[in-house]
Amino acid sequence: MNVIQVVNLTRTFNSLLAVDDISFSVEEGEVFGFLGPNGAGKTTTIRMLTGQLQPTSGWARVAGCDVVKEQERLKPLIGVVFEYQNLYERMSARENLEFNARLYGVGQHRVNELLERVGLLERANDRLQHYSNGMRQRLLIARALLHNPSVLFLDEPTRGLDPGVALEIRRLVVQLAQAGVTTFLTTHYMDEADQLCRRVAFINQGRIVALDTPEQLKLTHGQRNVTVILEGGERITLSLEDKDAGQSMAKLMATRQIRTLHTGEATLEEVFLQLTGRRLLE
Amino acid sequence: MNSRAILTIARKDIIDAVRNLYILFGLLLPIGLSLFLSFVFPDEGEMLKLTIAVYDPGGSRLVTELQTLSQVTLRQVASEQLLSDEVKKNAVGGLAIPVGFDTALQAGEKPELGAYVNRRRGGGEIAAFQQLVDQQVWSLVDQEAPARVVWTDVGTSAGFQGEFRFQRIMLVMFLVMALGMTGTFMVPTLLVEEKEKHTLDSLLISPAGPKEIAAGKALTGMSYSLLCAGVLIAMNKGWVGNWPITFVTLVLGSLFVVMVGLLMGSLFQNAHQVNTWSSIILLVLIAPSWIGLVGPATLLEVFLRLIPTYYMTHAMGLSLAGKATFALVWGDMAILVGCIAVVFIAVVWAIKREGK
Repeated sequence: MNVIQVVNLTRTFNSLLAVDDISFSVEEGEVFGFLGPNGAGKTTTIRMLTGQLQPTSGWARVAGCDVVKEQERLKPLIGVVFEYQNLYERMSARENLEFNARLYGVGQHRVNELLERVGLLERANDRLQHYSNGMRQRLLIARALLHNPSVLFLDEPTRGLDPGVALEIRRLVVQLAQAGVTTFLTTHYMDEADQLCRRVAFINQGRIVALDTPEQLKLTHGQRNVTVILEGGERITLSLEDKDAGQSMAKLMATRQIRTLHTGEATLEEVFLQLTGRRLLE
Repeated sequence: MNSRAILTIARKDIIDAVRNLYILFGLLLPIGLSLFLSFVFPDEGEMLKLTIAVYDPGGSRLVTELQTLSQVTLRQVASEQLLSDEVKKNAVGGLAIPVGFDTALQAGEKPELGAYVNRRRGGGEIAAFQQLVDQQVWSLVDQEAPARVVWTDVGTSAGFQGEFRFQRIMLVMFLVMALGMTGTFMVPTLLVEEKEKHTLDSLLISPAGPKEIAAGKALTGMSYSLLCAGVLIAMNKGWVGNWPITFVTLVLGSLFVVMVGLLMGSLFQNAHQVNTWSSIILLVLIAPSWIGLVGPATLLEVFLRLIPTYYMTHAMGLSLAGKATFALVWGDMAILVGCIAVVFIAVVWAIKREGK
């Protein structure tokens, strides 16, 4: 079942075409990656899908709700982790969550439950002025999950975080997907998209230029080869398209001089570069 | 409208606002100024030198009493007509004491005391003269309001006739200032802060829409402005006169300035813009309350009548003096309600414009 359905969605700001006629759908429980460089239209798309911005044309349904006509019904069904850490700094983590719990009419027991889940229970009464980036990011995720949304929008959730915290957040996304939460993820980190997403869409200058599973994108757009580095430092690249590739590899193995072997599968970054001529981290 | 969302936002802002030192300072400033003035000038009436003309054909003790006061210079005149002329030319006020005044007082009657006031003089001086007359007449016999003082204006009269005492003028000033600070500084700051820190985005995807957010901020502003007004009234013993009218005027005035604050918060994008404009708008809003101090000036008053807080000041001044009735101030109230409606429409327009 499609939880997110987007058809010919377009948004212009005066003469600027920010999102240009995009269409896609996301299934229930899927982690869907939306990848593109800064200014490609990722955040504008999220803002339209969460009802913050009206499309110029086209339509979208999220969790069965029209994002323009059924905003009030949509709001309790979605959770959003914004690209910026928009929390009340003079309040504690607990106060931030309690405020949102009241807004959504959620029982206060959920506050403790989520504080524990994101590992902030011990520091729950500290004001956010004393929190690290990682702690704030965990709190943002807790806030987005407070009302048990069925669709989660994560806009660059691990940007600027140390690897340990980023890993914790990725684990949480996996757990949520296993629990049936549909996740719409934008990220600059290709490894992250590769690990987490069942499918990814590349967006460039407002248009979707590719949409598939990460493996299929790499297969379609990458090269099938293996690079062998020998003990003496010599590098030999074997194309897997070559009929004799197997024999050549067997010979090399027989010499017992192989130091390392590297598959030449393209990365998502390289696929994006190949498709658009731009780097994701421009 | 989602009332739960409105109350939740208001509750959050009421707590969060006082943790913001700038907002806290803004809220406490009028109270602090009032406290400061009450220490520095415990009785402002004694600070002024007053020239008072007196027509006293019966040789009243009131004149003897007045002569003992160092702040008073008395000018005795021979007729009531000369008294009026003297007041116009040289004095802040004059007293026409009838023959048998003291005897009537002692008999427990309420004799008429003619009091002339020169409206060309400053409001502070006039108020001090009025306060002095009230106190001095009262001190002659140990009973309340022993004489019926009939005030007569001499010279050009403006809108605020009659009954302002200095403390009342200052109280009205501080009340307008407290409401103005809350409206033009606290309310837009709360709204703009949500924009600057992007917390507005998370509010807008929550069950609270723009209307609930605006109403929550308005409720916070109203709560603080009325709280500050209550503190000021308590500090200045201002719960006198026609207090229901004072209360209604404060509620309407508070609603008006809060609406102005919401409009500012909708139009401005950052705290710098709020800080720059709020002081200018605050000065404009509190200007009508200065009229009691600077004294009436016809041309100035024409301009001040264009500012809605003029009508709040007028109604509040009359009600604090005990001279207001709803029939007398309905015009002021109607103008305030009209201004609230106009600014409310502008706020709705600004919020819709922001949403696009």
